[in-house]
Order: sequence, then C-alpha cells, then structure tokens
Amino acid sequence: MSTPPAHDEGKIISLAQSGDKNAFSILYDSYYKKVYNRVSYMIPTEDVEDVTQEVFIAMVKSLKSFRGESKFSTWLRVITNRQIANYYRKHKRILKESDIEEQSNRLTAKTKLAASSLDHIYLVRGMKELPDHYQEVILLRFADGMKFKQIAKQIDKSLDATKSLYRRAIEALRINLEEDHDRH
Amino acid sequence: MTDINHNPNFDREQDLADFTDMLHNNEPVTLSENEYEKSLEEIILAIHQVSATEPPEQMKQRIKENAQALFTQTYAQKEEQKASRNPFKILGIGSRDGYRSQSQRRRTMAVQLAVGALAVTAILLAVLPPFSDPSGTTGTATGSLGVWMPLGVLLVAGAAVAWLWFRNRK
Repeated sequence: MSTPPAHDEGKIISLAQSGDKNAFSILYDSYYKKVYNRVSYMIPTEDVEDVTQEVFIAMVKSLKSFRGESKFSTWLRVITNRQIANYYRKHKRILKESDIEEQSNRLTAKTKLAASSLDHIYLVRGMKELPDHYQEVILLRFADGMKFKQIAKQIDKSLDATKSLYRRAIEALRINLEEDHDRH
Repeated sequence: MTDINHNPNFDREQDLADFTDMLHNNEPVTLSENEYEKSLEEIILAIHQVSATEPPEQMKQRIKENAQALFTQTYAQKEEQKASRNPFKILGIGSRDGYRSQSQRRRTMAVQLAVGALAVTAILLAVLPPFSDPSGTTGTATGSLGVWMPLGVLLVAGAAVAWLWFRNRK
C-alpha cells in the first residue's frame, strides 16, 4: 500500500491522534514496508522483526506529540533511525566474525538461500560501517524508494551534489564489502 | 574494451543514477562487461534485492496486532485520565459506575486525604479553645492561630506530597 496523499494523510494522522484505530491501521499499512526495508538494511535478519516492532511501538507512544512540523514520513524515519541506534547501543557491537561463521554453519550449504542470507549479513555490516550521510542517501534511495530529485530536496542539496554523494556512498559500500569478503 | 576511468565521455555518476532508475522502473538490467562497473552494479543489485523482497505477511500481521493492542491500551488510558481529571470524579463524588484503575483509586484516595486534612485543620481552628500562655492569662485567637496554622500547613503539605507520590508511582 502506498502512502496516502498529503491532505488525506493529515486527516488520518489527526484521527489516529484522537484514538481512531482504523486511522492507525491505515498509517501502519502505509508505512510498514518502508520501515521494514530501512530496518532490513541495517539490522541482522534474525532481529529485523523485533526492531521493526520497536519502531511501531515508539510510534504509538509518541504519536500524540507529532505536531506536523515535519512530514510524517520524516518523523517516522527519525524514530526508525533512533531504534536502529538503540539496537546497536544495546548490542554494543556489529556482527562479529564468530557470528558469521555460526550463521554460515546453520545455513544449508551452498543453496541460493544460504548465499543470499550471507550476502545480507555482509551488506548489513557494510552499511553499518558507512558514515551516517552515506547510509542515509542509500536508505532514502532504496529503502524509501525516493527519486534523486526527492532525495536532493530531503537532504537539502543540489541534484548533482546528491548524485555525487550517492555515487561516493555506493563506492564506499563496495570497498567495505570487498574488504569484508577478503577477510573471509 | 574502453577503460571507463580514462574515458572523458563517460559520466559514471549519471550512469549509476540511470542504472538505479532502471531498477526502480523494473526495466531489464544488462550488466556491463567492465569489471569495475560490473562490481558497482552488483552492489546496487544486492542493495536493491533487499527492498525488492516482500516482508513475510505473518510478520506484518504480528507486528500490527501488537501495535494495535498498545494503541488501544494507550488511548483507553488517555480517556481514563481525562475522566479522572474531572474534579467531582477526583473527589469520588458522582458516578462510580464502571471500572476504575488502581492508579485512579489511589489518586482519588490521596485527594480525599488532602481535602480531609484541610477540613480537620479548619474544624480544629474553629473549635479548639485558645491556649493559655505561661503567665496564666488566656491566649488570644492570634495565639491559637500561631500554633494550629503551621500544623495545618504541614498536614496539607504532607497530603500534597502523598498525592504527588501516588500520582508519579502510577
């Protein structure tokens, strides 16, 4: 389900803030995929559900305080990033080498699933090691599915500067992944 | 094969941007033969694959049910709090129908205690005879106030603290 038009969304948010369960349900359905995507890029697979749930719990708890000073999507993105940061604060580590070995032993050998799961682990590690502004431009592009023009507006940069930042982010991720692969 | 790193006509940024646009528009993707470019494309494909994968429906439902349960609970509590702000209900006067939560009952009791303390102070001030001073002469009303007023203030302050404590304890 795509996000509702801005004018409708305002009404839906107001209804949800006054306790309307259906309005909350519409908001959830509209934003679930984007939240899930963002979490999937940053959190190991086995904890994606927990962190996604924490995001929506935080959303319920703070919904009343949303005053419409920013877009709802931006507000929810901040909540998601905070929950991701909380996850790493609690775990105090990115996936260690032993985790990767353990994970690869658990996965059935050499199936496509195993390969893609391991790719996901490397991707999460590679993403986590990127500087915040690189992470964000990749997440805006892929997790939120934004066009470059929208990203440029979101991060308050020119279109060319945004594309350049994106290119550098992908390049940095490639280097991270290569280094990670070389270590194993 | 052209070396893209030395080809002045090759716009790598534009190429990458076009490539991800193609992915988002579900257009067929042709991987470049150039090793460097292929590697970047593979990275983009790997990133894209994560968001292209649909999340499990059961997970979506589980999270939704939990979030909705919390939502219902949160807004039901807000309604309770609104009702409990009604001064008559705080004093326990009026309708006592329906469920009252533990915190509501504690709040009501604390307010009743505070009001009771005020009332007792007022009655004591009005009824008790004035104290006699050491010289044996009967004390004045001012003398009586001088003793009972601080006691009353203490009582009220104690009740207020108790109320705040109960309220924050929730």
